[in-house]
Amino acid sequence: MPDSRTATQFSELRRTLSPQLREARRRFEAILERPLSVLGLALVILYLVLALAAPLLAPPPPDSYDPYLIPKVVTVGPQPPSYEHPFGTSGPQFYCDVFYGVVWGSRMSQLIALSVVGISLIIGILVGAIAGYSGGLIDEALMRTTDVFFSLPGLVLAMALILALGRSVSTVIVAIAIVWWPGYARLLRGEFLRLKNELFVEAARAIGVSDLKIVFKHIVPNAIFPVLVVGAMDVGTVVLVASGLGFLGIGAVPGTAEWGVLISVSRNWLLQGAWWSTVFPGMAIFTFVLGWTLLGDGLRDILDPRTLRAV
Amino acid sequence: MKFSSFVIRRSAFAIGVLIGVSLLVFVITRSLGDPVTPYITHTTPKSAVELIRAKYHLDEPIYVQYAYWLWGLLQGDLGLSPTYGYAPIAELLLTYLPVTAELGIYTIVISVPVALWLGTVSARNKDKTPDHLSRVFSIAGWSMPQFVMGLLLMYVMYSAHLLEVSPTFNFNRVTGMPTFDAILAGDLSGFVDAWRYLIGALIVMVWTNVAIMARVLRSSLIEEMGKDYVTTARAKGVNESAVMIRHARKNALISFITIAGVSAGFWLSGSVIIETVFNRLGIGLLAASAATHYDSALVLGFVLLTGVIMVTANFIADILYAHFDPRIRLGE
Repeated sequence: MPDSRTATQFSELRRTLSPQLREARRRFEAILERPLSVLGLALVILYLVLALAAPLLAPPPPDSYDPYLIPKVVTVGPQPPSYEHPFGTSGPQFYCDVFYGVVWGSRMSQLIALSVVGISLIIGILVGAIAGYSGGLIDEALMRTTDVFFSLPGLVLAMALILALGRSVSTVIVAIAIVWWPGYARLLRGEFLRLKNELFVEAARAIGVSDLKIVFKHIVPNAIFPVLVVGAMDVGTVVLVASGLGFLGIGAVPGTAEWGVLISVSRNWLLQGAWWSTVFPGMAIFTFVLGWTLLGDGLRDILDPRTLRAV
Repeated sequence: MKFSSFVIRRSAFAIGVLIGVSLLVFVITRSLGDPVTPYITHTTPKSAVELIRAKYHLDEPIYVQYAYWLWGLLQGDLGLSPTYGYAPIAELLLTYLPVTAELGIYTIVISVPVALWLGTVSARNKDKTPDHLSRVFSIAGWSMPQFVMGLLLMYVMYSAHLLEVSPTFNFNRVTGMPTFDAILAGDLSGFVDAWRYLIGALIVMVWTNVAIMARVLRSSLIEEMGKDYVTTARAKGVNESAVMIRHARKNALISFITIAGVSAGFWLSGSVIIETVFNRLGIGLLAASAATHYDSALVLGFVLLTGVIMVTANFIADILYAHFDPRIRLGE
């Protein structure tokens, strides 16, 4: 009777998890009590919806082979917002429809940001766990490596890495991820140092649990929380760096639906009065980053167990 | 630990990090292709290529090559830049550095007092209107990309004729910083032009810096205000603003030093973006245009310079920190 067994398991699971579930609900309600966090959550959801609905809001032309390439709208100069082109057009040389760029750019930004944060979290957690658990020379070597990365601003190092990797969306992701992981590694290592002599770890070791199992089953679940919160706050920051690279003309190729690139291709027309191709993508970056910053800020205050009781 | 031995340990650390940065740059350099290519053209005979390779020690084992390369760096040999008529990169960077330095100097001189004032006001009025306003200012400062802030400012100020994006200066170059050179030359209209060239970039830079600094000062002030010595001062009847400014702020200022390194990073990565927006001929614009022209040697020269500046800034910050707060070195 597999069904009834699953049902029993499920109710058992719910019973064991019920304190955690109650805790999670309390935390979620605490977020809803803070207006700034609610604004952040709303913005994050808005961009998620925008990214998912991109093919409906700005359908790519039927002959398009890559929806991230903005279809050309050839006009003499940049055209102001109109019914046909709600955010105007960018004009020569790339003739972008700004609305299309902003909508698909939201998908692109989330693709870049989530990939970068995801990749760097994996590397950072592995390195941090190894350094924190093994200690000694390995720890020293890994931490001195992170010091080297910390001595260069992210944008500057990413610029140099893109030289070596070539220019495309995927190399932007790889370059920023290489810049990003040391922060997580250091944070997780700190948590490891705090936890590795705790009683529950000693107990696991005493009954002969393997090192690998101790690290990933016992310590990581307890140490990962602050790292994930920082990861959430970083989603916005990654987009700042990526769009900065796009603006400088060393990220994705011109014509790609990426907010920084979109601003870059129409920059020469700004002083002639074409404000729309800077303002709309610019506000998109601003509100996107704002959303994740506010949400991350709220998460940090609320999820930190030390401040939880005070909330 | 004695102060001198702290300084020695910290210097060793700084040198170690610099070696690491040089290794990183060396790896990137070598991943770009055969290191002999910059020295040959398509007319170079095949037999000569190996001779050239031997001449620049490029046939030796990789660690020997690194040693030669590092030795060259220490003598200021950063290579030549193809996009600037094969000019030596070290010279190029030095020529363009003053404009970036000018922006950095004014940024610090303006940001620190503004952040002090804003941080104190928001700590004193915690969770009241001034604090909320300052929070909005700060959050906007770090959520708004610098290039968007810069472009919008440029659009507004340029339309109002407040801004100059490609001025021609008639005074002589002495320091390389237009506002100072104009004063030295006694050229009033040149001075005004130099400021119109600077002001947009300066506003963006100050905003992002104050956004961070004011928040750091606010939180450390609030932390200090909860400590015992503050309660003692209050109990003795010292008035609230004197407690904050004369007692708590002095201690909170120490934590202010730690963000010097962060500020240096902001200045350098910000200069890449802001100089591109406002067409300021500094090292940031130099590096950005080099990157778009695949001039990798010049970009990597900029990366090395950035590394040196950042490591130095962090070194000075740590030394000052240990000087003002002996607990740091005792805790080691």
